[in-house]
Amino acid sequence: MHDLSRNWSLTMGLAIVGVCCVVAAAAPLLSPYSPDAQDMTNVLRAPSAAHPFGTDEYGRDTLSRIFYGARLTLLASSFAVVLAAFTGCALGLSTGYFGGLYDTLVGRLIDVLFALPVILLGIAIVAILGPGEVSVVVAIALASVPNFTRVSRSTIIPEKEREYVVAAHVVGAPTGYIIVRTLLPNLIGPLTVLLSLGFAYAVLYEASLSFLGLGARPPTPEWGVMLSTARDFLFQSPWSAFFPGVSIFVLVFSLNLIGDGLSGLVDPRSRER
Amino acid sequence: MTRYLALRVLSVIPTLFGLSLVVFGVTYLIPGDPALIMAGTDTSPDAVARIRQNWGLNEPLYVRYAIWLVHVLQGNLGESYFSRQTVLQLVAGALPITAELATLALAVAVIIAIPTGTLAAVRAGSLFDLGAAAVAFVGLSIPGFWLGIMLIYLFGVQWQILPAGGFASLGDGVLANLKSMVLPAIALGTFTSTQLMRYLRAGLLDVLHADYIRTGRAKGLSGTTVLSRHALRNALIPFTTVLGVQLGYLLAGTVIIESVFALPGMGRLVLTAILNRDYQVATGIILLIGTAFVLINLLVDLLYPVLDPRIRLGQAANWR
Repeated sequence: MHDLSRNWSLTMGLAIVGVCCVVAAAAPLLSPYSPDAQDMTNVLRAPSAAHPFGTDEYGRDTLSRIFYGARLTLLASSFAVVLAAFTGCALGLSTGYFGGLYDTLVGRLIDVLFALPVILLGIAIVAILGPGEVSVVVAIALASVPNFTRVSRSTIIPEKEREYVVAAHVVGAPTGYIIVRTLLPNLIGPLTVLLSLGFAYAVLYEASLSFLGLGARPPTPEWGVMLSTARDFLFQSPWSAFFPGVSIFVLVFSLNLIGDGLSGLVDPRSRER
Repeated sequence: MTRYLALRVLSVIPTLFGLSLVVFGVTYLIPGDPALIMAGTDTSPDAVARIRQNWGLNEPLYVRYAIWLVHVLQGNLGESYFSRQTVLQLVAGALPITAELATLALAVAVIIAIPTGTLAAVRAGSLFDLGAAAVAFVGLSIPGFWLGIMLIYLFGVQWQILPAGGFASLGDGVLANLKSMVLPAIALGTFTSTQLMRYLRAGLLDVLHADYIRTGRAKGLSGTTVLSRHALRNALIPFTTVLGVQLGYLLAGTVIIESVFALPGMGRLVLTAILNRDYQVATGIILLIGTAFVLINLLVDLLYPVLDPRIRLGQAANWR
């Protein structure tokens, strides 16, 4: 019964994310209007046949801007998570394998990164690089590295003493081969769960940082930016704030579904709950 | 036990040192002449020269860091180049609002999490449990700032029973203050309540299968007594540590929620500072919040042996 429900959440999550990816990729084909096409005679309209999600303060079609906004959100979040995964796993594998002073120093760095929530990291990065998507990607990656590092390290430490690793040493395999070909496959299970959950957080943080004005700026069609400007027109048009928020929610919800489904496959103990 | 506590306290020092290095690194990497950034509008050569002298801006990097660290340890985090108020003066004005928001959000989270988590564990597998899990899942996925905006629309615009934004201090009346804080607290506390509910449910499920619980029931104790006197007391130990960690995340979440509701707290202060390039205020507050985060986690770790006698007495006995 639980296997079915886990498969249900994984299937449902993958389906929704798949639809989001298709929409983002095919935005120019699917959008009824250009995301930048203004129509000052049609500002802040409620949903209608001509504009299914209404229009914003410049008369731009909200549905088209949401389709194009999916591109930026998905791209920025994927970059951030993949960068964090790559860096975090490299650090976790190497510190778990080599240990010693290197492990201690990296451990301290990870403790410091844990002490700085992503919003503050975003603010710190923006101070150096200026506002923009690059700053957002770097901030989210830095905030996500500690989780990947800790999980990789804790997975590798018990494995490096196992017989198959000792055997690899004995036959003269180089260190790089042992880490990448022998130890890394142990990470695949936990890594897939972390990636999907990390992706969910990355989408949430990307929208949050853009909402605060630290990421994408107007007139870029981006969900967080759209919410930020829609807030000023809440009295006249609540729709401008409703649809971007629902889009973020649907994507994050589906990514959490994938993470939940995958964690059930990877860790059978979680099935008992 | 004392050795564990002493080691745990000492372990915080390298983390705080690392945090200071990172924040100093940020101040060093900010583009532009740091003396001109600090001087702001008053850019007379004398003022700029004084700043260079005070902060050792012409010295080698390690000397500059040492001077900066001494200033920080003396409470001098710099000043705003707009208002000329020191960072600590600005923080003193904004901190009570952020502290009130974080406390109320935590209260909202706990009030939601404890009854729902307890009932979900006691009625595991029931419709309520599935419903609570579904609602928690939804709450986990809702962006806090969007929830805040929707709450403003419903309660502030549509029904007009609560203010749409702004802050009423306690001087304007307790009711006015609470009215201005209830929506922000709900928006901020919702995500935390889902985390707390899940942890409490998982912790209680572990405890409810223990032998001592079965013994209590066999002795004839009522379900409520077993739950409140035995099960919850044990399940609330890991719950309390998660609570402490969540408080740290709530502090960070105040940046977004204060921006949505126009509350003049520390979160809005640091955001306004970075958008206006008031870098000393921004980096000073980052250092303060980061330090608070580390100290909160330390407090949570030190609280654990106080709450759990098994840790305090150094026993690793299996109580099941």
